[in-house]
Amino acid sequence: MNIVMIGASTGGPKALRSLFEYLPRIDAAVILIQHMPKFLNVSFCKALSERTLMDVHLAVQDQLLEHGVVHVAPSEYHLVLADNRRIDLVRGVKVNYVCPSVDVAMLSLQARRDDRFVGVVLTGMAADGAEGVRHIKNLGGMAFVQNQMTAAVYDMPHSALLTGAVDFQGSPKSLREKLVETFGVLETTTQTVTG
Amino acid sequence: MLASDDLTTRQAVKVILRKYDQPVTLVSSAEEILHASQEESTPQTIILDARLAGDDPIALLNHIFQTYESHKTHVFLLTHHQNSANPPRQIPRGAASVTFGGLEDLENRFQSRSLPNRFGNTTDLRDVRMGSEEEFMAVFLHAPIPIYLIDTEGHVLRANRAKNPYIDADGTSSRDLGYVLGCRHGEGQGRCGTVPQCKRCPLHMVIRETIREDRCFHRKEISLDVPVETDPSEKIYALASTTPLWIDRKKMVLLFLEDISELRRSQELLAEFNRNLESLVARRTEEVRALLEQKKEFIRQLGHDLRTPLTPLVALLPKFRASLVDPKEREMLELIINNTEYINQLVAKTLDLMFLENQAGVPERQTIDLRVEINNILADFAPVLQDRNILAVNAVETPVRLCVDVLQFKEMLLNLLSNAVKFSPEHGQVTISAATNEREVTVSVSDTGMGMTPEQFSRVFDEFYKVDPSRHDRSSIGLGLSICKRIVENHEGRIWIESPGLGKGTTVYIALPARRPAEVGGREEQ
Amino acid sequence: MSKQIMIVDDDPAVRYTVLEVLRGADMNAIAVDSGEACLEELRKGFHGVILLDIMMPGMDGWDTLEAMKREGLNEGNIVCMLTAVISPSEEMDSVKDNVLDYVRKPFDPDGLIATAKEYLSYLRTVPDENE
Repeated sequence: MNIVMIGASTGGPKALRSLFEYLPRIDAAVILIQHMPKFLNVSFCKALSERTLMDVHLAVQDQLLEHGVVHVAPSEYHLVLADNRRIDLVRGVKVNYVCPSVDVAMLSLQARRDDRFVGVVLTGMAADGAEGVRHIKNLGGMAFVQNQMTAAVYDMPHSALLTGAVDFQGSPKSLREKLVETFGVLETTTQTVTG
Repeated sequence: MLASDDLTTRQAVKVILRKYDQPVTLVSSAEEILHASQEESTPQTIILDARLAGDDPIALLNHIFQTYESHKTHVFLLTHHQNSANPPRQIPRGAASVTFGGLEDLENRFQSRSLPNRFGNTTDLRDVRMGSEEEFMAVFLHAPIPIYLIDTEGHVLRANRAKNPYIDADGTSSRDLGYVLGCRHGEGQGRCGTVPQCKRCPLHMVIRETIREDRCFHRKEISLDVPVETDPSEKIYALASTTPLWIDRKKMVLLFLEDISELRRSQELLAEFNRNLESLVARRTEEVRALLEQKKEFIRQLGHDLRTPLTPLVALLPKFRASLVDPKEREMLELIINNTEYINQLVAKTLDLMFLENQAGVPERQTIDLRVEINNILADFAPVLQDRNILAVNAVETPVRLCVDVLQFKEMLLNLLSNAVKFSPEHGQVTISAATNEREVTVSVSDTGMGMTPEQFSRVFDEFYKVDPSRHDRSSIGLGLSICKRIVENHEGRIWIESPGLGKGTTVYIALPARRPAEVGGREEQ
Repeated sequence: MSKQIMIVDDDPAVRYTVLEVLRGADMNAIAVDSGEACLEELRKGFHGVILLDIMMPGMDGWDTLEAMKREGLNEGNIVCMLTAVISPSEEMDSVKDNVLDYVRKPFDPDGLIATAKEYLSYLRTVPDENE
């Protein structure tokens, strides 16, 4: 399974709008952690789904990951993966001052033979996601971050960069191209209709 | 003339006198002193054992001065303990002729009068045969470290005289250790080792250990809490070296006691000095930190106060574009907008430079691959390059590792690249390359632009310098290279410019120190 | 529905500018000059997008956010910092999860309009609580 975990905070909606603009269905499951107030969860997903060909859902408990789908972490729960497959939403204390935390989600990934990972850290204050991309790198995955020129707040990408684990930095547009290049696009015909 | 009834005293004085080649007449009672005057010539000095003077030394001294003329004869009243001796309360007439003191004072007296002998202040061994008992005694007595032979009861059987006024001249003693060391704990109530304080006495502990465990060459640093006369508040620090000895089938302890009080006191002084120094350094560091913090706050405030009034200008001026129809007015508006944008850039760059200058010391470094960094930046630059039809070439073909502050380094590349692009003609070429040797990594950014004269090479790094002397060029701020220079200096590197001449292009070189070997490990495998 | 944007800034020229820029895009907004006044509007029932300055005398932007959180006034509102401070400091760590965006002064008017529009659209699609 291919798993992309994207973390964003302050300035994230704008960066994501540009990253998901015309994003085709990539051959990977996307977990998106955007720090935001809970009441925005639904409208945020809606705004995002209007831009991309991928299915955008607010993640629910026990949901299984699916290629071509964006699973958005709901506010006030930490999102962790069980066996890299099943979504587990955990009520818990804030980590890095936030819940859901990008680090918590990324650190739940485990080494599994055929699984490929990419961690992406976008704009935001402080350092959430830095430990996460280090972990992903250690698992043999890749790490991308947003560049300073386009980030509203460069703290999060910069902290990730300082771990030395980052493979690529660029604008949201170039990050989108990088994701397509890394995982390829799902054929519409092979798309299975799910419940 | 030496007057003493005590054999050991006489021997001790004889040793001293022989050392200074003083002939001596020996008498053993007070009467003999007075008698001798009839037979002998007047002695220069009469050394009078205080014990011989009895209870009334004054009377005896008066007698002596009746017999001998006080201006010809000097009386040295030898007391056995210089400090406890009761000096005669009434000094007779001719007091200048009487002195009193212990053996050491006596020796000092001769020493100061006589010329130094071959061995300096040591015993003159001219008459001593090697291997003789005398030789051994001389060596023992004059060893420069206090040596004591103690029995298991703590009695000092023998001691040498180094720094030790309580020991008889021949090294024998009938005193206990405490007395010899000047410890006053046991005074008046018994011997050394018998008063409660003695239980904690580290010297006693060392001696007991040596006896009990038969430990040879035992060495231990101790601090003696003995109220010595010189300064009761001061502790004596000593290095006590002991070894057990069997003499006449009796177990004894040989004790070497080195006074290291001076050393310890200077160590303490040094330590205190260091503590003071540390706190001074900490205070200064804190002051510097506070100043930097203040400056940072100032820059923050200044930035805020410059950007805030720019906000309406930048946001509202373009609104007039739509409403103005008169070409003249439109021209004026464009001029205003351009200048506003120029001020905006100037503010941003100036604050940048101030911020960089305020960065005290070491930038936040990490290892980067130059080739990848250049590719990233060229990607960011692509729209500008396309716009001007300029070809940008990343000539770095292999990974080049650099340990830099990424943000600063990228800002520097950005400035160099935008300069190169700015001064390049349409269809020009900008090349970034790198060369590595053991010491440095040299990065160069070349353009095919207007070039420079050698006079301009050094000045371009000055703040607000512009190649165009009339300064009409509003497309650049004149701070880009100053910023680059500051960044390079933050990285302990060098920056310079070369150009074959006007119209022949310019190359900016940056040489940064290659990573130190210590920094190579760890990430290299990744 | 019409006044769903509030600009909080101590500088009258900035308040005027933001109002004018938004008005030019047919968006109405209200402007207040302090954190206290912002809280007052929220208590009176304001809901919408708050463009919040950081450096203000007395109660600064972060203080205002903290007070909003304390009183539960952040619920249903989107906060976007609009500031001349180049980068946020660590002091805002505890309130940052309520800050959706960070726009620097001097701002690009078209960018600000787009931002305001986008966040307003978020608010419009928020499902009603009894839905």
